[in-house]
Amino acid sequence: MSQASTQAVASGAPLSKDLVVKCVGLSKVFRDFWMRNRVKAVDDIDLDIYRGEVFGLLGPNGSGKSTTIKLILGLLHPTAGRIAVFGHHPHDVKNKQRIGYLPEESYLYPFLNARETLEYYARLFHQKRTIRRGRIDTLLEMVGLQHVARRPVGEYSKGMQRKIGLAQALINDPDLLILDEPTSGMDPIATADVKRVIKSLAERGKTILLCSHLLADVEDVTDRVAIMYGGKVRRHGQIDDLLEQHDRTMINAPAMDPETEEHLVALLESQGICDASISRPRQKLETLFLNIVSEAQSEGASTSGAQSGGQIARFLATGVDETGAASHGDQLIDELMASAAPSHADQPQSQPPPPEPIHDQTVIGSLTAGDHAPSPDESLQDDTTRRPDQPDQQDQADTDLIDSLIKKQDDGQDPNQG
Amino acid sequence: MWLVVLIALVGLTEGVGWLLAAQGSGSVAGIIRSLGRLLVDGWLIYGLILWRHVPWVRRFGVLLLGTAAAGMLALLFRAMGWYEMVIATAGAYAMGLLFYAGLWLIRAILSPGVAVFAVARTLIDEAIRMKIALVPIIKMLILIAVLPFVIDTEDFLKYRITSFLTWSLIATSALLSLMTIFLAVATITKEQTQRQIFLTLTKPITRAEYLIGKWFGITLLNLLLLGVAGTGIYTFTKMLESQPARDTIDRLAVSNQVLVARQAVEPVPPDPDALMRMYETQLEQLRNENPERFGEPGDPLDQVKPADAAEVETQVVIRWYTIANETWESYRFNGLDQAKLYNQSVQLRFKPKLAGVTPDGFLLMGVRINGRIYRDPVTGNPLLKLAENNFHVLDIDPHDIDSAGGLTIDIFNPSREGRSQPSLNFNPKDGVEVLYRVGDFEANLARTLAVLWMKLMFLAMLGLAAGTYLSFPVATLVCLLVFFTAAGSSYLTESLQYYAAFPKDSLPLPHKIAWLIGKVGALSEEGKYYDILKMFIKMIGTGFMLIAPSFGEYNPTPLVSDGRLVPGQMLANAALWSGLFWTGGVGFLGWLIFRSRELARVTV
Repeated sequence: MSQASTQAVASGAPLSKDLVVKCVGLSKVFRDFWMRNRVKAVDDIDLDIYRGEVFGLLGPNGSGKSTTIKLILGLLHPTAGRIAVFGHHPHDVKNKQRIGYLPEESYLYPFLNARETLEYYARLFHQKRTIRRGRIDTLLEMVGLQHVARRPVGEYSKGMQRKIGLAQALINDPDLLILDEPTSGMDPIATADVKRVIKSLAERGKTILLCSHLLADVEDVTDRVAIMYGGKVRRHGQIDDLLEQHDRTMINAPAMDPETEEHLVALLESQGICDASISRPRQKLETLFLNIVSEAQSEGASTSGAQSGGQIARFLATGVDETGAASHGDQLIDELMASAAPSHADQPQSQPPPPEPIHDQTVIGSLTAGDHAPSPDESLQDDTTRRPDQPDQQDQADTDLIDSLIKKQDDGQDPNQG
Repeated sequence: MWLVVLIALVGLTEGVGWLLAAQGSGSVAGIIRSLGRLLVDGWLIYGLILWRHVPWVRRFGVLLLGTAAAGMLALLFRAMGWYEMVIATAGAYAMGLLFYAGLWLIRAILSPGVAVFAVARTLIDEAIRMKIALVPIIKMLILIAVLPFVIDTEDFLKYRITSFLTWSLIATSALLSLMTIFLAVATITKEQTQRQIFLTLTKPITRAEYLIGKWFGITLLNLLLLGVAGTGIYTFTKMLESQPARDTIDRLAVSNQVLVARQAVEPVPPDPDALMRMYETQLEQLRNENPERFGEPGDPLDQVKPADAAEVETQVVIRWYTIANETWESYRFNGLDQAKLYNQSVQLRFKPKLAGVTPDGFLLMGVRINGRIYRDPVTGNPLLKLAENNFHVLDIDPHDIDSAGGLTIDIFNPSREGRSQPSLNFNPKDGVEVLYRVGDFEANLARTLAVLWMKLMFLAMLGLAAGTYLSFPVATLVCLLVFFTAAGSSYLTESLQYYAAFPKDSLPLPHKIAWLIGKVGALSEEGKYYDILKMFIKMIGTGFMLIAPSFGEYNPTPLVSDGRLVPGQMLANAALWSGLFWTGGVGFLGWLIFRSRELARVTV
């Protein structure tokens, strides 16, 4: 951390256009009744979270994740260090206009129903009646609770409460979304819905701070992570960099007959790669589960719980409010896109298209045309912050390698020769 | 489809009815119409069930159900011959209806997208749905509806109405005060322990706005409840008024002395210098008896200590209110021009006491009004036989008021059956006064409720301020302590005066401290440690009384029950002190604590 930027954080001045959250030397010590230091929940951490990225804060229970979030939200005061959110102090009320927060538990008023709950939070954002009604309808549909919207949330299951919690966090179309254990208590369908929403929002240029100990969920959606333990950040970086095994290579290919497999193993052994093996990949249990439920839903099976979420709320997906006007941020993005980003048609044909989630095709596909074109935020991101096409490039490279190996062997050439 | 069927049913019923009526089949038309209307009612109820998820339909359905239930209950009571309960049911229904409609109106007023309104509206929902406020509200509504029927029906109507007004206003004030404290403390402490506040205060709302929103919600709820209570009190008062009185005087007393707003006038001597002369005589006498304290006889009048001068003044006033046997005393009441001009009713109200014992608790008294002897309206006797130590009221003809707008009333202490009657005296505070009508009961009741509202504003902010830092039980106890201190401030101050030895208020602070130190030393030498403890308790109590608001100064209930004007000055003072300064001060203190509070803090 440079001296200049530390001073900027301390003075509350914006550090960088794309820097959304900056923590410098952040510490939090909880004291007992006699004001004696008892628990060091956060211990001298530095964090930078940039615009448009999904940042994961990981760690076991009691590692300081939630405390860090509460410090960022101004619910706690740091014992030492500085925090800037959008370049301002966390207590700055204007800042909160741009923040959405889902706490680790759904701290909702049990006597309000879902619609009243969202009405309450919308009013806190000074939203006009017509706008808030529209947003509430779309959010309820998005989280699949429109049919139980008039039931008191105190009667909801934990998963349903989490959904309303998520909806309230999105009521203001936030620029920074802070999600503390967003999928806890949710079934796999709801979890998949939440992950879909996170991905979609990230594609829209929203910044998301995700705090969880459900590593599989985090891995699916985050760009960068920081792993905390004992109040300290132990590792941080790009998720792909952290997870990549540099001493192994995986070949991804369509199913082969046993003869080809033996042939391939022999070929690798001939190259001195002795511990090579071939096995059938397993699909994720989550994918299997979602497919089964999807089939049941398509057969019209009924359920008394929450329905599967609908398409992402229009005001979140498009950045266009109910009056039809694009927000200032969107105008800015559009201008930047027009001047800096290459159009889809201008991209080289050899580049693989960005992957589309299988179960999101109908949902995301129904969003605006802006989602089919490269997102303005993607065009603004550098290579180190978001590389959604990287796995496909890797797959393509692996397939090309296998093809060339087999072709060369069939031709009796040494595969190592050029 | 539902609407089409409804229109068709109404059209068919009325159409066929008219056709049959036109043909002279009136009875058949009646039967057809009755059947048709039953069908229409049934179809309407079906519609209510069908569209019950629509908010306005649900509200309408609740109103309809409530009306039907109240109507059936009233019919049942009527059938059983309990006519009072029929009226009570109707009154309770009217209050319930007003409450429901008022609640809906407040929710509508608070619906715009303003953060303070959002917090206020949610608080009202919480108060009603979580039953924090509902129990006291129901108690209050039932109490007001039942009170008129538990008051002794054999009593004078005047006293029945006075009792009802007193008890219903006390019940309203007490229940709403307790509800306000519990609601204010609960709403803020629960939100912190259950952490809903995390979500609210991470939205664009300042902590000051949050506190104001909570306070505004409680204040609006109190306004509604006072409105409902006021409606109930007024309705049942009118119901009581319509009941038979004991006699004509009782009936007149209700309209002229209870359901009215009267201004009181205190007497002055007809001769403005009379009291001064009495003061001089009294001081001279005391100087002869105790020259060390009061000075030598013949010294200038102002050469006496202020405290001693005040004591002499008090003695003179008591003497003026004391009438020896076979003597007169004159009392002049000025400022009655308005009563004369508008021919308003005027009463002489007094509470006579005798310095000695009477065999039967009665005394004799003569009264002369502007030179005209007042005669007992029943017996025509010029000497009135009155119960001792009770308030009595004499109606005065407004034409007796002289052109200067005044009344001179002479009171005579006669002998009784040839034996001298002991000295007759009156309390200088309210022993003799003239009351005249200046307004209506309705406006007076409204002012009373407004004063109560100002007090509740303070209690709401007190509860919220306490809840920003303290836990629910501790904050509630603190608020109750302040509330009871404020409510009983006048009694507590008086009690503290006699509780332990203490330096006089007139002493400068250094002298007070020196006095206290000397007293403590003297008591400890005598081994009277309990007296020292009492002194410290008194010191703490006096300090607490200084900072606690004095609700006793704004107590309109005895005034309105007695048909006296609740002065605008009282309302203004209550608004200024309770509604503004005390509420603002406590709110500011609460905000100071709350603004720097770590809401997610964990104490380990």
